[in-house]
Amino acid sequence: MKIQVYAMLKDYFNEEITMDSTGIHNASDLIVKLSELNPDAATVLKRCRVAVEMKFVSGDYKLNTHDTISIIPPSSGG
Amino acid sequence: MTPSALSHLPAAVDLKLIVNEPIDACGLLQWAHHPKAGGIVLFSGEVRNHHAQKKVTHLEYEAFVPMAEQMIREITQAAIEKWNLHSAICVHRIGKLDICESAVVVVTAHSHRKESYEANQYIIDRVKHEAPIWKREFYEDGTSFWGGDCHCG
Repeated sequence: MKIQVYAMLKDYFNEEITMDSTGIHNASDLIVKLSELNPDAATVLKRCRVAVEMKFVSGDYKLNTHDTISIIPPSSGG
Repeated sequence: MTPSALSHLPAAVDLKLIVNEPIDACGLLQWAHHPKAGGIVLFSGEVRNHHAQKKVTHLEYEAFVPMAEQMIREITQAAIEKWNLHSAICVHRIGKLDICESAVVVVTAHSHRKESYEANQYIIDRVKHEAPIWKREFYEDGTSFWGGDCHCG
């Protein structure tokens, strides 16, 4: 599955990450896997939300391998 | 933003809400004029030269542009419906911004000023907290920081 990251997350990951979806059933699983991939990002990831097809989803949202998945850090616009 | 709410402004639905270039605040005010509007509020969120006792040299904004534009449209439309606004728009800039430049401009127009003020604050508060837009502050000492304190209360 392909995941897009933004802002401070790019200090820890490439802008687009390709991951093996094994064991990633929902949005919460994805955050856990990313934290395992780079433990230094774990604190930031805990504050992030997952968006699928430009809509925020809850932790139990079931992810599909073809979804357009984005990891959204806390907003700081304005 | 629905065409009905902006029927007097045929080009409104085509406006870009996330822009790389300086925001034309006066142009947006001009855009928002409406014959039924007795009170128009324009808010400009600008780059200040300090944060937490550090001197800020400039900011950089990044956005997930299509999602941010979609959310700004939804938030603005919610305000139009909640306050029965005659017109409303929010435009956010991305890229490098220098001190005193506008990062975001919100314009709201209602028959009366109270509703225009309330709706304007509603839009900027929600855009700051919800839209996928991120700020990076750069300081005079060469360091930088993602995010920033919000004093919305």
